[in-house]
Amino acid sequence: MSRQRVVKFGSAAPLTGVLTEPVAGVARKSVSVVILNSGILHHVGANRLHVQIARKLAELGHVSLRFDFSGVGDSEARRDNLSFEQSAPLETTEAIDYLVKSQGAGGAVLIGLCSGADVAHLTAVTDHRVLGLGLMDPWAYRTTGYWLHYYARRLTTLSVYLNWLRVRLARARDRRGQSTAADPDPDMYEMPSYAREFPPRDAVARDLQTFVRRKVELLVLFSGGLEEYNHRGQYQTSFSDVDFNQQLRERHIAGSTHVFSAIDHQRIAVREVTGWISDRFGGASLAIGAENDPPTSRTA
Amino acid sequence: MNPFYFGDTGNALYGVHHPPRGSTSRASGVVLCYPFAQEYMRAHRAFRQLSLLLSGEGFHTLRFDYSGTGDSSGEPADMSLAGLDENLATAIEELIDAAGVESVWLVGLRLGAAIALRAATRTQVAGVVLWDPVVVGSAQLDGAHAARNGTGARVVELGGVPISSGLQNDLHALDLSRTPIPRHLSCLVAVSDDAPRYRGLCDRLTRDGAEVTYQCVPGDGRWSEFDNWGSALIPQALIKVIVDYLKLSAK
Repeated sequence: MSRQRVVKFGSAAPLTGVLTEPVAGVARKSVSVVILNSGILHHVGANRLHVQIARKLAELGHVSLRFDFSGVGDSEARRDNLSFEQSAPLETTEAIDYLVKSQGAGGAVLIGLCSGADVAHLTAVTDHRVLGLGLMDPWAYRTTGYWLHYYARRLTTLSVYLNWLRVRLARARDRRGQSTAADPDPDMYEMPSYAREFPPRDAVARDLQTFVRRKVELLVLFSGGLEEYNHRGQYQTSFSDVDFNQQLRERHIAGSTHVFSAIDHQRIAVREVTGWISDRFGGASLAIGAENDPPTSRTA
Repeated sequence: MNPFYFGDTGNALYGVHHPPRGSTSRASGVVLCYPFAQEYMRAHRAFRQLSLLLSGEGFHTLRFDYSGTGDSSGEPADMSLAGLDENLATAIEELIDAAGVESVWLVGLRLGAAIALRAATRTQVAGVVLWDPVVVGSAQLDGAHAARNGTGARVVELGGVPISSGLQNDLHALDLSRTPIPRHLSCLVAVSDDAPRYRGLCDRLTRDGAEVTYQCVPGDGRWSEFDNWGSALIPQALIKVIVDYLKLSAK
């Protein structure tokens, strides 16, 4: 059974994380893993996805830290005026600091979904201790292949025609002054506050080439819920000017929602992420007796 | 906000204790009971907000994850209503021991409300707040369907969570109209929809001697709806009703 304990770190605000340590008897790997929030979902992840990944990594000997950015989940809010795009990479670097100091980590792999993937990318630009990026639904860019898949699917899907009919009927109702489905009430809902904007493709390509030169390993795992992506291979094609040097693995779980809602899709996502970490970072173990700080709270 | 693990080492529960903020510290504590499956994710932000407001009013507040959910140990496939009852009893003890409160109120949302009401007969509870309660357990299973779990075995899934046959049976048998309650139990039924099932529950609780307050704040109570983007549902007005009730009713 893996061991979990609560940790607190962070200079600008107390950040809450859950550290999952390797199962007893399994050699501790030198590479640790940081799992980042997506939107306002707390460190458990959508449908406990992050917990499942952390526990599987513990079986493989990797320490992992799932933490909440300031103001999210169980972390306090910051008192400064930094934007999320500024504070989140700083806090991720503090999470790596914590793993290096307390666990003797020789570097970190960052895992994130959606906004978590964006933060992982931004952190890796400045923090050279990042050895791998496991990005779920990262920034993606349409290609010719995307449009071929897009129109091929529409031509063969009955629901597209039914949807077209529904839209026409709804517009007709609107013209007659009848109401349609209401927008969410801002007093009732809190949507992820991070307005996701995809940077220019060329800027992302430059970063990716830099990562590859630094020997950063890359996993891009796409759900079926990202509008900009619709077939395996699209990511690599969209960055055909980047020499990935065999350091990119691209996977697509077609049919999955953006947050991997179904347990079957969760199972595949966990397998893809942990399998990639095992393949690329499973070799190096820490020497027995590597430094560990004493537990600060009871363990699970 | 103090997150920590508590309970047995082999079955540790994750909780977040919100001590009172400001100069006032009340003699009563509040334990919050999360809803189940995807509703847990949808409600997490609202529970954080409710906890912060209650701690601002001087309450020691504890929100915790049941075994097999959130950050607690265990697997969802091992869950049962008896296990949830036991988890809540452990959480109540923890708050009494850690914070030294004299009495405990429970606030439960959806299935958490049912667990809270069941606890009122077993544990010394000052009162309960039933927030959009699941009155009949089978309603919680709406939308459940067959799927495969992490090992590829066939299971029943609800909102991305595998549900054991034991828990399914427990939920089919759950009916708050037949759950025994202690006499003179203070009870707020706070709902977002003036539905007959809630009125019926109030009538029944009153008949059995509870001191019932009914508050309906019409709004969006779609806790069980599946949101593919991870949005949170935060009914501000209803949260305020709960805080105001506890301010007046709890010591």
